[in-house]
Amino acid sequence: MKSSSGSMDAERIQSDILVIGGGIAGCFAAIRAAESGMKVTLLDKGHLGRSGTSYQMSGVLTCFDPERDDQDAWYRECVETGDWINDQDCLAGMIHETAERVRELEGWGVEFQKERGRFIRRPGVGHVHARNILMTKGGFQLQSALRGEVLRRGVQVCERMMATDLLVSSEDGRRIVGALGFNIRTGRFLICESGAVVLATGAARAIWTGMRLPMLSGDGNAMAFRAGCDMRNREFAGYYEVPVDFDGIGPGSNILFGEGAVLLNERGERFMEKWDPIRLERANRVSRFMAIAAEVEGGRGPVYLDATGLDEGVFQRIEKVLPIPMMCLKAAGLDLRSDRIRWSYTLADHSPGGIRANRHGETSLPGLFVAGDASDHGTSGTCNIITHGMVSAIEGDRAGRIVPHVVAEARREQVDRGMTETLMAAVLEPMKRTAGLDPETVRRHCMDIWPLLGPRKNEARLKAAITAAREIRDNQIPLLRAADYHGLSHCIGLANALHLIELYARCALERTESRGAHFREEYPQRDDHGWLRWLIVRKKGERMDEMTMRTESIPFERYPLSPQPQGDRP
Amino acid sequence: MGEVTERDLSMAGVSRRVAIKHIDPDRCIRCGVCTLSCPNDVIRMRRGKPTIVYWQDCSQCFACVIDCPREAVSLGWVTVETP
Repeated sequence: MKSSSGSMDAERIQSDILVIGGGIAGCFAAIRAAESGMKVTLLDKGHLGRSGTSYQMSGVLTCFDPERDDQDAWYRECVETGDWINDQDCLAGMIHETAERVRELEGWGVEFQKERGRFIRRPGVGHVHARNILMTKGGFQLQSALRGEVLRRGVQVCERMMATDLLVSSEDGRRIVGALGFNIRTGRFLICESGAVVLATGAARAIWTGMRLPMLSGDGNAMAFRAGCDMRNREFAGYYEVPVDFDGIGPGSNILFGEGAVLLNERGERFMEKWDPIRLERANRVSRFMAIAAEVEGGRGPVYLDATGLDEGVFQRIEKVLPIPMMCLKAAGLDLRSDRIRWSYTLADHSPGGIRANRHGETSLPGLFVAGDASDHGTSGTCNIITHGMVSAIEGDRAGRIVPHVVAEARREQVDRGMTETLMAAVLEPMKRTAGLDPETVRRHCMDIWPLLGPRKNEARLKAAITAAREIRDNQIPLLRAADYHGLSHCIGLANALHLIELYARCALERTESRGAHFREEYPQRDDHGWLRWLIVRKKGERMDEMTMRTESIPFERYPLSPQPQGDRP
Repeated sequence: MGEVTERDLSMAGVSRRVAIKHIDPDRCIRCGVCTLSCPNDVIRMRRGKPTIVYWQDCSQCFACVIDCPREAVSLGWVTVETP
């Protein structure tokens, strides 16, 4: 494609509700919102039905069975695993809603693994009471079905569309009244004016290898932050155990541990015995990646996943639930039946932490909602029991229910036309440069920050990470050059994802205790007296790196459950 | 997979990963479905033929493989020189 400096010509759409992102959260939000009769527009950066984590996820969804399960036991498991950081207002009702969403998916034709008419249920990693059920063909089937349901309801779908900016009301300067985006193939801008926006843009996974999805650059997070939205729990960004050489295996692959795969270090030792002698590899994710990190840092790596001892029946089940990872291994000439697979961990950033949301998906900005991995997943605390896919589906459903009411009651406000011209010109900057830095090169520089952001954190490394991120932001991002619109999407996405790295390090520096995945060498204990609080961050001023932080005490007086305080007294 | 480590590769100035590798011209019927399916915009039509343009952005989602009516697309180890 010939390089050009881009055109400011824009298509304009007017809609009632704009959903940005077409994964499980965005689809549920769009479906629910469209059922109200309102006009819904959905933007997807790739291809609806094949985009995002949702497409690549395993077939696993946590699902409550009222006849067999104890709701109170599940609830307690959620808050204890979440280290009490859970927003219990969000968690309320969610366990029952898992069954509602599954009933709905089944009604839409999604096939689940069953035996004699009942769901086959398996404990997920970290599950004691909770149970997962299994969709055949994983996210491939799920997202294909959701695409059909979205289109069937008359949702206007714009694909290959990258949203770059939220549009703010010209009247009060705060209310979100739409978004600006561009087509990453044609370059044509889209200005969508709407009564409300639902961000469902997913996690930020465009930088780190191991589970890299180039399109998931945290665009919604960055746009929301730029518009002055509150973020919460950003210090708990999640690590994920993944194979070393692949990006397509990570999502949902931890069910391999649930099926009996073991982790071995370079000496052939089953090192999880040191970390969780009872649950071993079925321990929760935090224990697993801390263990892997310790083995690698202790010189006993590389670490391997070994499923060679499992029955053929297990592999048959895995083929159905993890079709994409299995195809990936086959393409690499590997077979779980006979090969140990080199395993490591990466910063997946898909939970928790993100845009602060209440149980309806409302953010701190009027007119702006969020669902899915772009949200802070307040339900989950530091570590989820309900699978991310299911939490995202419920968040999408909830947001989709409330948004039509909000839009119906709100006065429609105008977009500042002059502002959109300014924004479009800024978007095109990397295409105007005749020389500059290639986004792939700068991404590699971002990856150099990785050793400073490992699971064991300290002040010196966090400050070094912040300094490194700033250097890239101030000296390299402004020099990015895009050869085409595809490259332009990477230039913008890289800046967005880099911002989230800096935000993560800044928040991790602030929380002076250890809890869940957040481990500080200087403060290795959990400190409930000082830190049963949420860390909230918001932009202050014009620059993305100017921010205010505050903490809020978690309102346990309102919640069904509260912890026995642990840790140091002040 | 062999015994070559990432360190060996990076020292040699190459990088290796599993990614989209080949669209078999004898099997491809140029329907263009792969250019629609790929979430990462890796494949584009060039002169009427689906062409791998941005292989580095392949996330091994296999949408191209699954959606291809003629099993013309394959993924495998791709080795390139690193800049």
